[in-house]
Amino acid sequence: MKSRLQQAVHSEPIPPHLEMRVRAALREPAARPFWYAPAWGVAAAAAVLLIGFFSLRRAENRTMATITQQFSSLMTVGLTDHLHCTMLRKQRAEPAPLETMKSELGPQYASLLPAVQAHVPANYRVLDAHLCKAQGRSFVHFVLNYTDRYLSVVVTERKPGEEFSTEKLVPSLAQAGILYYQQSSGNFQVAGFESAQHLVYVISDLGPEQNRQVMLAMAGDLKQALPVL
Amino acid sequence: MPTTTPTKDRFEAEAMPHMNDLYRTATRVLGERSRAEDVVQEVYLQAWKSFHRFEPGTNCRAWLFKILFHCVNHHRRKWFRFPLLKETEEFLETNLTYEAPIPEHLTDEDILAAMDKMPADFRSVVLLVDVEEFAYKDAAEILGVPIGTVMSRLSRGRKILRELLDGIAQSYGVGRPKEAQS
Repeated sequence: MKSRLQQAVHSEPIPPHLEMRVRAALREPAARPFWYAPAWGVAAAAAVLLIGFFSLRRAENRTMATITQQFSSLMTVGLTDHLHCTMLRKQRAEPAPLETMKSELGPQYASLLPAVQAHVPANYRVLDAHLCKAQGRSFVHFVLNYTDRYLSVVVTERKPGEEFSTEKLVPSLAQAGILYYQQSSGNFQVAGFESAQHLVYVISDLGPEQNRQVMLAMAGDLKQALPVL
Repeated sequence: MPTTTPTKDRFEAEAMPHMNDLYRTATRVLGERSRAEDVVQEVYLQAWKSFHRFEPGTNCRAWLFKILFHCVNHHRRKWFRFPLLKETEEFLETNLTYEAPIPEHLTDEDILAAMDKMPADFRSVVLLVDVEEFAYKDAAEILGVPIGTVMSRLSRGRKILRELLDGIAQSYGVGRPKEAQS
């Protein structure tokens, strides 16, 4: 069995460019600082950076498309920001100072911060709060974490015609006049509700029930704190 | 970071020859060639940056594999949560009922497909011990688990693999159905 296994694993062809790629990567950190490099070296490095940037973008888009295709288009709105801004970006190690978060949110959305802080799930903490853009849409984004597990609370303005009910989604729960919707695929749970002018999401890798509980806990306070546009 | 020529020569001689083994293992563990390439590149970058800490005369191959699994785990943690070992053990309890024979007439692709279906924890140990021929002690060091865990995962991993291979063989009409073997 051992020899058959070895034979099978060794049948995997080695990409001919692998060694060249590794050697090229190894040369970079050992090279002299770029301001000593000849002009062609700088140009080549810029080209490599550009190619790397676009390759990374393409890979990110592929990954996002694979994950979001399991969700309805309105659930994808919130999930996209979570993937784009939480999962694909390096997160800070320690929570941002409260004042920084308030100032990042601006006067219009700073009032949402206490609503989120009041209902942080056990062990989690508010790591960051800011305004961001993903795929041309603006979001208010709260990043919560527990070690390397991340949960996002995402708020965005509703566009005309955006309603969960038109997406053939069945509300998973109705409470205090709010209809809650939930979808999950793989490790991602998305819960959402709509107010008159906003869509609000909680996205995490918690179980479906836990994720919904977080949404339920926050929804009332969030709805009250949402600005009237 | 090491930059002197003797260090470069030593890195070239001790680390570079293991690139193919690292790539093949990364491919099997990650299940995707392009990501395996990324991880192998990352392994060599990390190895180069910390090569001054590598003790000459010790096992450079095991050291590189340790970095490999560190990179793989980092990569996996970011995107996927794999079932806890407890869950995979439950899977085994319900699925491993007999010692299947090693099926014949299977292609390399069949064997690789079976390996890809194994739970990740068990596949890693089988790859390290049976394919890369690391000693239990080295495999334990690479994966950061006790040696007893390596031994039990190896035993169970081999059983899973046999079971999966037997299933493939049966789908070809080779071997006997499970009921007939008890």
